[in-house]
Amino acid sequence: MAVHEPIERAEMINQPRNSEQLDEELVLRVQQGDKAAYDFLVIKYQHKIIQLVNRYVKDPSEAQDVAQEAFIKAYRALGDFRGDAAFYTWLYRIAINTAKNYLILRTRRHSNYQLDIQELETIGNAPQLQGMDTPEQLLLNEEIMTTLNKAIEDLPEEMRIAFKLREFEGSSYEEIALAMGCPIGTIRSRLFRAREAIDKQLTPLLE
Amino acid sequence: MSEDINLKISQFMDNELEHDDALKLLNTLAAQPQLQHKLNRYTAISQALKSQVYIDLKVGFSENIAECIQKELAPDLEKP
Repeated sequence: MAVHEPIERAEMINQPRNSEQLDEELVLRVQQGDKAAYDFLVIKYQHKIIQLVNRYVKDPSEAQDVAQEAFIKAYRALGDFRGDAAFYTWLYRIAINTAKNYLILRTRRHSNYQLDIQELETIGNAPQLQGMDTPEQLLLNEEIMTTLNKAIEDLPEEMRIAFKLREFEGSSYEEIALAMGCPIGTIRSRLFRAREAIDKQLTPLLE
Repeated sequence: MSEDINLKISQFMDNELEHDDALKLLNTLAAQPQLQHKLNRYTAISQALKSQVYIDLKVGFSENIAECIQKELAPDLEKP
């Protein structure tokens, strides 16, 4: 579990300044009673928080429930948030604590769960055991990842390079534009088209 | 129109959208949850490349949070 933390810490530090400024403004609005501003923060960070929680919970469906709980806890505590750390760093800590507490409860629940023969027969219907890395889920994820990697390799070269620089190296648009010797607007467009092309390849697997 | 929004969504998830445009986009996404679908897909792709796990967001994820918060606030609002 702790193995993932250095990677996550690096992600926290890499939050761009303009993103932090936007967060600060939204947090202030929430603290002044604008609840809608919190919806913006949820939309902005929902996927990152779910992925973070999933590294602990290891079940995408449960991870979403735990992430929801973390967002609600964060909302309750937002009145006391003084901005000593960036909002995402603060939210990240709440999410990890929520995930760890959830794991403790889940472990306790399972150790108290006495299985008899009848229960074993209906194990497939036990809600607490559903969706935990089932072979079907693993197979679908494998298929999605294979399609995703192939879709990247199938991109036209200039799109693929821009996409890889952004996604794997974390380069900014300006850095990619410099590296590829073209205007930022071209990079913006290439990244968008790359994402659209990849999404199109994934759609049949997801719908 | 939708291509223009999707282009902005792509920029937004890269933290390359100017502050005012980012706020405008968030307003649009919050008002029209169906538009969040594209942000979710782009982000899921990006996150999957880092974690090797593709997570398809449950429908209504952010709306459920908003609803829970609204319910919590309701008693306070009813107080005289």
